[in-house]
Amino acid sequence: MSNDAVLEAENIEMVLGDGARSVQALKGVCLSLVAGEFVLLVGPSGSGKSTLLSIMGCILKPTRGVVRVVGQSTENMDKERLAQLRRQHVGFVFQSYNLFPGLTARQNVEASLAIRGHRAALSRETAENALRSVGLAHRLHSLPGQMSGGEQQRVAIARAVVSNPSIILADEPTAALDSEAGRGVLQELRRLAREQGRAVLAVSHDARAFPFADRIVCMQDGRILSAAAELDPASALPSLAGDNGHA
Amino acid sequence: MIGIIALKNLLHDPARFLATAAGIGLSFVLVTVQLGLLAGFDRTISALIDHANADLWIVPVGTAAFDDPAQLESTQRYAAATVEGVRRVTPMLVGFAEWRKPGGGSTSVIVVGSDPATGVIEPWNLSSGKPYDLKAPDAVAIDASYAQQLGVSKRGDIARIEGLQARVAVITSGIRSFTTSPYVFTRLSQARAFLNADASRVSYLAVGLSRGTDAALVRERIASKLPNAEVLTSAEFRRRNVERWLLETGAGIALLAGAGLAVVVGSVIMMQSLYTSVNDHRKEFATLRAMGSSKRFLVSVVACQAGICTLAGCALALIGNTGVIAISAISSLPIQITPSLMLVLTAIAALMSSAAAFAAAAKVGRVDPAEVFAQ
Repeated sequence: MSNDAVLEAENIEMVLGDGARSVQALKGVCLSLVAGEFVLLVGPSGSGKSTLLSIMGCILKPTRGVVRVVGQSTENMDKERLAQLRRQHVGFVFQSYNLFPGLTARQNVEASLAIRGHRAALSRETAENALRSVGLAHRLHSLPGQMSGGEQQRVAIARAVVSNPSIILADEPTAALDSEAGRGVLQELRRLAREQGRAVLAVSHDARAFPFADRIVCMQDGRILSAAAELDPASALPSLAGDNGHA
Repeated sequence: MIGIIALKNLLHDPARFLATAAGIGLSFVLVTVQLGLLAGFDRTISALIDHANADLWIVPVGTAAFDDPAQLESTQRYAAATVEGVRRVTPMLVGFAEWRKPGGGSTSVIVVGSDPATGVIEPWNLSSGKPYDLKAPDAVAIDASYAQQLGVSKRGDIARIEGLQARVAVITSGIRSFTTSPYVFTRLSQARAFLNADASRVSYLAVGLSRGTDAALVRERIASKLPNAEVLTSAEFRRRNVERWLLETGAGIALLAGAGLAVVVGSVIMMQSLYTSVNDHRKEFATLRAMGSSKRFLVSVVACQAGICTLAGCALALIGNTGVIAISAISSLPIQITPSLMLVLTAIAALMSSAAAFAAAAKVGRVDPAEVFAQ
């Protein structure tokens, strides 16, 4: 594990379900991210990508192994302490955006600040700046239903970064988007890593994402494939696209 | 932001929100009417005692209610008057009698006789006539709300009580009786005539004390001199009346039970609505939890939703209650909305809101943030 790592998973094992129907979703997974890198987690369905993302995002607790967030082990933390850790250090971007349908773009971003106890008057300006930074200055007062998928995902990104977390976790961020919108979202995630020094970990099936990543980590059957499979994005595209059944 | 999220969650389904608010509003109206009636009955039952200028009451042993007395020997008045600290003792005669309407037919009335010169008990809220008008022979005072029942409409109208002429000399406003029999005020001697009562008998002796007198001590002294009577303070006499009419007859318990049922119905409506709302917005709550929201924040959103529902219900209830109060003012329904009742209603609203939010809050507290990855 790197000493510079902001997010580390060490020998993570995860058993889902009980008894005869239990499934070992993760089998001794180790992964670390440093500040400023954009890592793509790829692999076939059922390979354990989302489970690993949930564990590294402190949403699920692993059966065995250690997760460290900005150096803090989550081993003995209860649910509220884990929530606090997420509030302080982690921003999430979800596949289906998960915006509040009744709130405007600005209010959706403000909600992220509200759960962190920010004062309303200050939150408004901060939220507007976050939306401007993702190119949505003209959509401050739009409801999610009035925006395109790409715009909604940008709102979700603004919501994830508005509290200035050091880690961004994205679950299939381009799966529901067309090519152009997907490219815009990936560019934004890469910008967050390179320009703002955040560690970005994204789960993706989308081969179009590969060129944007600094590193691609391939999973299969609950394991990360050999170190060699942490591929250089430049060479990853043809083989991984084939593995995942995507063109 | 908690308020905005709560409001948007509710407005997401406006029809359900409106139905919830209407349900809560109706339950509040029902609670207000029941408790308002209770407060009104409490005031009506004790109105004459509350308005009497008496510190102590000498009543026949076992007297359960003002309206239904036995009788005392009027000579006891003199025994009481000799007790040190007693300023005056005023006899009063109360009894049921038959009122013959001028246009035919009859109804039962409660004749209240007292000497108007003493000022101990006399009609109040006079809308027509003067107190001294009752000094005239055959003069009586009635309340406007019973005019139709008594078959009279104005001063000077003549009816008959137990065959004797009764002339309406004074008309009051808002003096209601708890029973169906209206009060008819008159002089003591006239009351004796109407009730065919012996001059040696009275219903009550109202005692006025000298300033600075120890009421408990005087009461003890009077009681020792009058073994066949009870000596009560005004508060005790009042309480005895209320217990008789509201508790022993079951009328008060029925009203309280109705109010309790209305609270339960309102709470269940709100509880069901909030619970469904949490279910409908489970995805959003799970997202907030995944983003790091504390349970407390989520519970605050639910509590705020409950508060908004309660406020909306109260607003609708205010409209309903205004109508009910307006109707009660022109009817014989004695609905009283007092400041203390408003406090009770506010406490009930807070209680309903908290109870209704409890189940939904428990549910939102169990929302699993991992659900955001399962969609």
